[in-house]
Amino acid sequence: MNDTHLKFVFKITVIGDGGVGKTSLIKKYTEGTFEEDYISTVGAQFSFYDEKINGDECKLYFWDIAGQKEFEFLRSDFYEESKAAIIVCSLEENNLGKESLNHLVDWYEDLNNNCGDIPVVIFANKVDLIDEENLDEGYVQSFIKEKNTIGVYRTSAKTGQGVTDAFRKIIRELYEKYKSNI
Amino acid sequence: MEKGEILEEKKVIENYVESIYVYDNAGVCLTSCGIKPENLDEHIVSGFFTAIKKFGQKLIPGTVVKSLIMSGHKLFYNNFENITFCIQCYDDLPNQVIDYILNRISNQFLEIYQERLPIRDGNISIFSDFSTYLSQFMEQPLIEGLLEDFGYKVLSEGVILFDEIREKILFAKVPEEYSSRKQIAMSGMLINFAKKLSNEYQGGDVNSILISSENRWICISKREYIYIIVLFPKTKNIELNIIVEKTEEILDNILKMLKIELIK
Repeated sequence: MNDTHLKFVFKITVIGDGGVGKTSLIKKYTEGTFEEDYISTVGAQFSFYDEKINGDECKLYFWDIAGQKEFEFLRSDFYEESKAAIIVCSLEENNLGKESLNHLVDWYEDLNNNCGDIPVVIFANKVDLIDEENLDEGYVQSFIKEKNTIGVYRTSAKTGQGVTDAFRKIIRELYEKYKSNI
Repeated sequence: MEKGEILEEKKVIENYVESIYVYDNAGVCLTSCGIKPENLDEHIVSGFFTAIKKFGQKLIPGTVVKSLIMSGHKLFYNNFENITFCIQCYDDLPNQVIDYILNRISNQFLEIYQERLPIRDGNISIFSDFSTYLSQFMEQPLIEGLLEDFGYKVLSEGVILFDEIREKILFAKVPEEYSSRKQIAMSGMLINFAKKLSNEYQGGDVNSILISSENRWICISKREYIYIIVLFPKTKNIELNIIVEKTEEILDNILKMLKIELIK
């Protein structure tokens, strides 16, 4: 290899209940979504986020996997060879929000069974719809401690809060991990 | 073996193949070359193909998507060791020719990178040299490569491809003493003579003649204005039906490709 700069591509699986805003979040802050309607028929959308770290090109390559029950049969196959995962839940104070929090553990275990112990980040989404001062994050905090995840980020596709910071955290984490293996 | 006269106008692989992608089971594109739509990231393309592949496996368990046919174009896939090789080409390119191209690429790739595949850890820069190989491969004459490959596979001593209309040798890989105009013209005359004989017995057109002589098998096949002469040593144990079948198969493919060239 004559090039001193390296090129990394990390597959990131994005999961969570249907309707929590996975696609809106990822799509708004990434590029390259390809023929959305076609990809949806096979249960995933693809996009990427890239950044240069120490001159090396790093790319997070997102597999935004449909959360609906109908796509359950495909999901585990779509996880294959993921280097990290984002589990998205909603902070909305309604059934969808509460269930998405309760299901965090199910998503985590599903992922763990298929990919092993890969880094996981929680996106607590739709933060713009709630009053952050009164937010009780006790459940999420105990979850991330127990499951040894990278962290939790309060995110909003509407205001942009949290998303880029989280992507940067993931990309650096993976870069450091895999660069040191070379 | 020495090369005789070679194709006058060399049509190269990129005249037939639009693009090549090599990607893993994560859908990460390891390397690619050829024409791609503007602003479309190669990982998005390989991700889509991977999702289709996985969907196909769920739809009909135990199967794998081998091709996607689109109007005027087709995509063919070959899976080796968790790596998929995909070529996008015009839909009139014969499938056997596509197999030849996919096999050439995958063999070369695995020969270089097989040991490094399990430890790549997201680092795709290790495959950057392969895009140079692919670019060079795309510039190779396809018919010539096909005939060389064919000659090697059927253990032949030599192959000559001749265009009767233009009276030109399109390809020759034989010992020099076997590629004179006289020898080739005799092959054409023999086919025409055999055709007359065949007509006497209401046999119709003649596809192939196989001559079993003391020192070698000589197979002459003809399609329209193209004929091929293949020499086999008598010392090798070769099944006669395979000789004729394989010779006709390669000739059919080449004729299709020459017709594509005429259209383009």
